[in-house]
Amino acid sequence: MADAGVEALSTFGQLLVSGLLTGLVFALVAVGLTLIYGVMDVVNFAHGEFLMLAMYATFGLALVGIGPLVGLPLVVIALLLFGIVVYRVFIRRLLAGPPEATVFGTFGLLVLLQGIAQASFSSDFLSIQNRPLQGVIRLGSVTVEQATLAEGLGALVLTAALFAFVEYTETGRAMRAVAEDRIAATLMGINVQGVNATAFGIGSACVGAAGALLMLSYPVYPTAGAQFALTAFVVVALGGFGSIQGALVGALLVGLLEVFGGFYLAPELKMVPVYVAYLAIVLLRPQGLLGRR
Amino acid sequence: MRAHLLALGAIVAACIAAAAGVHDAVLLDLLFTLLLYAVLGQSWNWISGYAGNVSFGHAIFFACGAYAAALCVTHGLSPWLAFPAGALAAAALAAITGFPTLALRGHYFSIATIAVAALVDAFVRNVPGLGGANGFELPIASGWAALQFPAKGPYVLLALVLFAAAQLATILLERSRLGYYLRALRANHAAAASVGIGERRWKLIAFAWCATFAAAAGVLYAQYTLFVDPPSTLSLGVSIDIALIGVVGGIGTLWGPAVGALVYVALAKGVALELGGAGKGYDLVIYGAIICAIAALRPHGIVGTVVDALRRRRGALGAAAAATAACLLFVSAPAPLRAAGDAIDVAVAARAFADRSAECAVDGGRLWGVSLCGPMVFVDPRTREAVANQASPAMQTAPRDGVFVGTLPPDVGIANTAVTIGGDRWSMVMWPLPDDPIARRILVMHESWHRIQDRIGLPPQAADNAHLDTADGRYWLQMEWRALARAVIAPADRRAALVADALSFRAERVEKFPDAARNENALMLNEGLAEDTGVELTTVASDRAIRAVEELASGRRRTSFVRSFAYASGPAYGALLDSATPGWRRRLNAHSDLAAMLAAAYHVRPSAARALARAPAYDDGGLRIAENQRAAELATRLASIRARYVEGPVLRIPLRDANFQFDPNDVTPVPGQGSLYAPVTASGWFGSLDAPAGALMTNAPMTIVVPAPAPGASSGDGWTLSLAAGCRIVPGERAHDVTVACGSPAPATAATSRPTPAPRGARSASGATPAAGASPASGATPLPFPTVPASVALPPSVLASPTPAPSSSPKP
Repeated sequence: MADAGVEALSTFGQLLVSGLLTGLVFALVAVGLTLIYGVMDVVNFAHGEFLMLAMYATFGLALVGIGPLVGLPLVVIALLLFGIVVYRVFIRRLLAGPPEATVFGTFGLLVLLQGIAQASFSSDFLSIQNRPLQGVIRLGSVTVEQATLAEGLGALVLTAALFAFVEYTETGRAMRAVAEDRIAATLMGINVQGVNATAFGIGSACVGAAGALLMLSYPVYPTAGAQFALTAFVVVALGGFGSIQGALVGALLVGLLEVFGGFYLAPELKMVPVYVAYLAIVLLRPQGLLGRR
Repeated sequence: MRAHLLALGAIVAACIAAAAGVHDAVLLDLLFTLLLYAVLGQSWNWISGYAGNVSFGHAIFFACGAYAAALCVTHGLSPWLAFPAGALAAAALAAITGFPTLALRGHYFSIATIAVAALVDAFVRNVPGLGGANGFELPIASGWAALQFPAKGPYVLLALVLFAAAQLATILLERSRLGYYLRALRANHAAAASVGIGERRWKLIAFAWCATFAAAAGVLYAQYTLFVDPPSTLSLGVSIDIALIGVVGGIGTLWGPAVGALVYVALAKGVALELGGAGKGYDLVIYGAIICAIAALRPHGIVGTVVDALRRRRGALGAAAAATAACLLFVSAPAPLRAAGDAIDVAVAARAFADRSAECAVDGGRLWGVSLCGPMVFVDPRTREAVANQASPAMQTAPRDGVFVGTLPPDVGIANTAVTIGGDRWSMVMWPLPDDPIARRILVMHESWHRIQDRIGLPPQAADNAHLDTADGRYWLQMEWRALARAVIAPADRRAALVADALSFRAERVEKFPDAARNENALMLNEGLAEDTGVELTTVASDRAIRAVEELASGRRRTSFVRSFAYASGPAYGALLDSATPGWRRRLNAHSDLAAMLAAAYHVRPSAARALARAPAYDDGGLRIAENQRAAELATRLASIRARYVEGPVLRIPLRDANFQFDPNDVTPVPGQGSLYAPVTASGWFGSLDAPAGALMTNAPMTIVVPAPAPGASSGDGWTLSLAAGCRIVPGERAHDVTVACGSPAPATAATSRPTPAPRGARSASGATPAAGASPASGATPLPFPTVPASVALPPSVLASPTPAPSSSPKP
């Protein structure tokens, strides 16, 4: 009886840690999405495909001998530039159209990028050879994979850095000003197109970091990003579109629900508690947990 | 309608011919898929296009039908039973899931549909009897009773029947009350709610109906493929395919889903076949690129664009040419990484000019007998940078990327208006333009009308509508708006009675304020016609009524109606006159009475007596209470303002050469004195003043007034003053009043100062009220606002008309 109790408790501890780490991985993908939404009201449905590109980029660097942790800054810079170019060439034009244009424009981008990936790399699953951080760490009865821990820590650092950036830097203040009132920001001399492009670039750079870290434990294939992005949309909506803290809270909640749901219900039902929680929360708070009306 | 029916008939005939004459299985398979997807797209279009709730979970209704067929057949029942059973199940599912979620806005709804679909997927996979993850294989049979056929022809015919039914239902929807209400809700749910359209009720009705077509398509699909499982019927991928079909063709249009299905089938099946099978990704590349191009260049979809052109047959050629030109310009326009501070984005300006040329080409003098196009300039009020559509020596323009960039001469005031620059009449619009493309186009055409109004004999007339700031004036104006809103969206046979109501409420107002008729009409003949022209030329005919209701709703949200009411009323009067007496614009002159014209057009005799009798139908007492409350609050507020800022003791600082910032959204006119602005900051010869609690600005001479400080103090109740070197507080003209004096003489002349508009103020002063398209500060009297030199007294009309609170797009 006592043994069963101890076992249940240690299982619970393991699930708790796994759930939080899983949540942090979701946060890694979600913070960039929510930043972009917060500044320009665009849900980038191609966000997962940006992640997929970052994972392919990390894979490519690994082929020439640059490991994912060393290559991370390079991937971040590449995605930053890619995001800025996509904004300048494409997203900017969507913003001039009706609101649904951004939804379907980014969906088009999703289809396009998946198609390009499929045409270029085929549908094979690609994993980097000799991945670092493949061991596990044991803390009492709880086991943590080093790679997952690195991803979780990376998510925390990324979220904190993004939050500090938006709160305390001049550019971050400009982003908040644009989020608050685009026209007023223009009149006060803020270059809205520049701020939007920067925000889109930084949101994309976030998935650059996420992509490099996720290659520690996941393979890449043309629809690899879509899995993460679908969860990220729920995470961002749950936390409240546009709120960085909300994304973190939402991600942790989703991670816990998914891990506990997968364990206590059935692995194939792990998303059920997540979706039920999303519906319950938005029906009570239509703006999400920490979103603004 | 006849054209739509003819088109439908032609399609039906062609498909029947194909089903009978073509024996190529691949072609018939494509045709069947095309028709089925067109039905699914149309079903999605009802809720996501007409009602505006973008769904990414529509496959669940398709699955209802497919599973109903599978269950019927595997239980030995007739598959025909699956049509009513699947439709009922789908309608019930729509009602159950729609009731809570249809109240969600924007992306929150879209994500909720994904969640609902995922839960339905989990349900189907895990509840016994539904086939689990493996699904159902249907036993093979043959004949009409079993709804299975060895050839594909009969399937095509059945899909054709379904398609024709869905198209007919949509034709009826477009002309029904439900259709009008859905479009009104999509365009502006708050405005629709204000005229009593219950959002949940009507959307649920649409949702349940459209779910039934999707279910019928599901039945046919199951009978055609004889295999039903979760991934092929209710996965996210199926839902997204349905949504993309709806969008590519043009959402909220009758033929959009059919066109979208054609593009989808041609690409997904055709390209995949041509390029050697799916899985290579080329089909995705092409399909993705097409969606991207449509979203960026033609956000209203293929049909939306074509319909737009066809609706204005007269100008279709011109519009097509201008659209092509705009496209070319748009594609070739460089998007350089611009430095901060380069305020006017030349590419955006060029696009706005191209839009305007397209609208002018469509108009071609139809409305007013003269072209609305002509010189137009966008001006950045901070830098006086000017971007014009033609060269102007007075502005020292230089060509750049198809437009002309220069500087506005210093003697020209900046406002949304028509002005004379270098001897020519120009339309001027302040930069930035409104974000909302419709608002932007309305504003541009509004100011284009102001440029020609003198020439068409409708010069601006002086109008003082101060009565619209009284409780009675506001009450009866809003009653008129309520009746106008109902009238514009009413079916033609019920419109006259509603117009009679609206004009009776106006008559009641005129009875209380005898000058109201003349003054209101004067502003209607100016801003009302300008706004109506803007709306008429930028809105397709089918959206005209909804746009007019939106303008009425945005009028209601303004702080004061004194100068703004005609922006709201104008488009509604225009829409009503257009449908009763086309060509009314050409009969107008400076003495026309628009209300009398409207009464004559509908053969109604408005009267104040009718107003009192009909009032309960429009106001359950809430509006009257709200207006009385507002009047009482205003009186209390004015009394305390007078005590604090007029009766004194006060500190008065003459604003000779000063910069000041204020928020024009928080302005209280103080009769006979000026206006109270809060908060205000000012700086100049005296140092700087920061008054977060507000300050009174008086006219002639312009003076800033705050409550007097304690002796020797440099701050007082709600303000702080930092005096410039050599300045001190000295006794003022009145006992106990004080003012500021400096040792060195203060600069006496200065038209050099420039008040910097506070963020929120700048917004409305720039005419960027999205729904209204133009600020009431625009107009024939060039209001030097917000760039008025502080040494120049603001005209009373400015101080008396707080600019409206901008109605920005709501953020979830």
